[in-house]
Amino acid sequence: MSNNIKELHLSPSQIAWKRFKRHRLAKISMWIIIVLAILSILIPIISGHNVDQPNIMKIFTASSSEHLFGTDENGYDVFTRLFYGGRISLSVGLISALSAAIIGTLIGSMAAYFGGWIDSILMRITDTMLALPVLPLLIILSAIDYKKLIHIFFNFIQKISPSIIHSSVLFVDQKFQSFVDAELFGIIRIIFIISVFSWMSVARLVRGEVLSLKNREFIDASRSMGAGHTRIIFKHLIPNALTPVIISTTLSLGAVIQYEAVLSFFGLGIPSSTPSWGNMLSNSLEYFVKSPSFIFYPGLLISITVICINFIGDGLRDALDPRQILK
Amino acid sequence: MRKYILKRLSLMIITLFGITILSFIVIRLAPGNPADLLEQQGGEIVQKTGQASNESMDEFRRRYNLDKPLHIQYLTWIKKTILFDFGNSLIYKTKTVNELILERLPVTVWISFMTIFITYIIAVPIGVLTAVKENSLTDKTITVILFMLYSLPSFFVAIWCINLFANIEMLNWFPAQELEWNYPIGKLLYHSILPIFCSTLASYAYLSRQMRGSMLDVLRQDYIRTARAKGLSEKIVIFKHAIRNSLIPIITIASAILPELIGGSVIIESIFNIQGLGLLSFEAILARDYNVIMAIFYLSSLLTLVGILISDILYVLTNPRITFDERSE
Repeated sequence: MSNNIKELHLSPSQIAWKRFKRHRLAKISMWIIIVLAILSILIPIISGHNVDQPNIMKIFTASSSEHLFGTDENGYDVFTRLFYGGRISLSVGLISALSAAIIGTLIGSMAAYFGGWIDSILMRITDTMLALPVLPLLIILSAIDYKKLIHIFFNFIQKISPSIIHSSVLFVDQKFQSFVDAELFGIIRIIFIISVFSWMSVARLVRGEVLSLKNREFIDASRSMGAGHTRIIFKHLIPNALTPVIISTTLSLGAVIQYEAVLSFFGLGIPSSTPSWGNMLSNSLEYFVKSPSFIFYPGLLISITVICINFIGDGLRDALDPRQILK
Repeated sequence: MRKYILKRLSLMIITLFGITILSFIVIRLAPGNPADLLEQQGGEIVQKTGQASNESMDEFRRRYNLDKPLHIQYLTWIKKTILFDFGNSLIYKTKTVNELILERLPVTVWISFMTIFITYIIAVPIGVLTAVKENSLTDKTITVILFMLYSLPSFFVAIWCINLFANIEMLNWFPAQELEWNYPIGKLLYHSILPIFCSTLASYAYLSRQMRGSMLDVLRQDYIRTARAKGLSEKIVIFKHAIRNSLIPIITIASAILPELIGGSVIIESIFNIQGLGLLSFEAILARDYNVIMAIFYLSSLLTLVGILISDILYVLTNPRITFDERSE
């Protein structure tokens, strides 16, 4: 209890940081993730090999000083590709988890704040999506031929629009078609699919928090001073309901990175021209007997990242839970 | 209580309708309907089932209402679905969806139940151990190991297992394939060791952490202090007083885990080539077998909703401090 007094002169974020540091595994994990991220960002400078230029003379070489982790079936340097893959996998994970958190927070807070039929509709949608089996759904959504879908959409627009703008509709259609062909689209598609199907738990969490907050005195005070709905939701309710969101988003980051790998395993992930941990792992499955070390690296990196993220989430839970007393 | 259950049931029906509409739209979004796919395959399947020419494709569309507008397709589908009649499979034409599902169900149920059973048998003692020895080296080591198991992608583990333990060149200990539920029990167990091992790995962490948390809650209760104060041995306190009470919330979780397993069976079943529901849904998605996909989505969502309802009811029934009126707020 005496230590409790020591916390009094610290700000909430300082207390949280102090508690987070006490979770030794979380601290180590955070450093590992930071190192992985820095390596992924700096890989073009660190590595002497070009990620797009395979050396056909050297396929399946063992690790050496030139190729730290050896080369793969096409003669690409595995080390270089791994950290280029890290760029993709980490950013796909981060962006999907963040957008899921944003969608979930918005829906959850609106449902709880407005209540009534808005709440009923939003929560029915949430329950609906929560009850659907995620993996088959992800497989279906990844199998969708977006090129055709866009084409159907623009054909429809062309049909209902006046003939003067037909050529411009056609132009936009072609622009979209070439965008779908671009490598970037493969990544955006995965981010979209994953985030559309992982916001539900956050929405429920936020709804629960906001329900308990919205009748508190400080909200009444804010309303009596003339604050509108938007101000109350964004300035008062969401910041106070954010703690469980931060924790669950951190934990879901690990799951998202695994989803990317699973989708790649079914051949529906990021196209293999762009390296990601998921598609490197599933590509290497074919060469398991020939070169087992080769499946090991992407699998290891995925596992390390997910473990570290889970420990960080655990540490955050300890750090941000206000009911805990620093012992 | 009756009011609460009635309210939940009516909400469930609305949700179920939402599910049918959403999954109907999502599935139709995937371009290439079954008739197109059949045509693309050069009538390969058409020949197999004895159907002859291109005219039959039109008939095929007509028979399965694929030529009608979407909302009419949906209405005809939902009318039958309410009575659990999902029609025929579009690919295996001679079989109804119900036959197909009943054929594939037992092996998935077997694996799911064994997975839950083994997870409980291993995770509950681990949870108790880590709670009793809270913050000790044992607790920390076990936690780290469980987190590691949880973090391994299951298909990654499954492929390592097949290549290590079911490989003539490596260790040929287990068969990797050919698992059918009507094997004699010994053979069935032997064949399911690897798939069950792989599908349990990820769930130990969750369940044992839950058990640990619930056990810690119980250990902080006054009646545990009383039990210790009146001189009962630590063994009796733990085994007779603490474990029993901390098991209650853990058991209610089981009904929520089950549906998740059926969704997750896609990965394990397609790697181990087990002819179960997971593999069926994967095949059906690839072949755009609408009737089968919709049936699987419908049934597994229904199972999920019922599972959540049961675990909520059990939670209230086993926890005298919460009433149904409070829950329905």
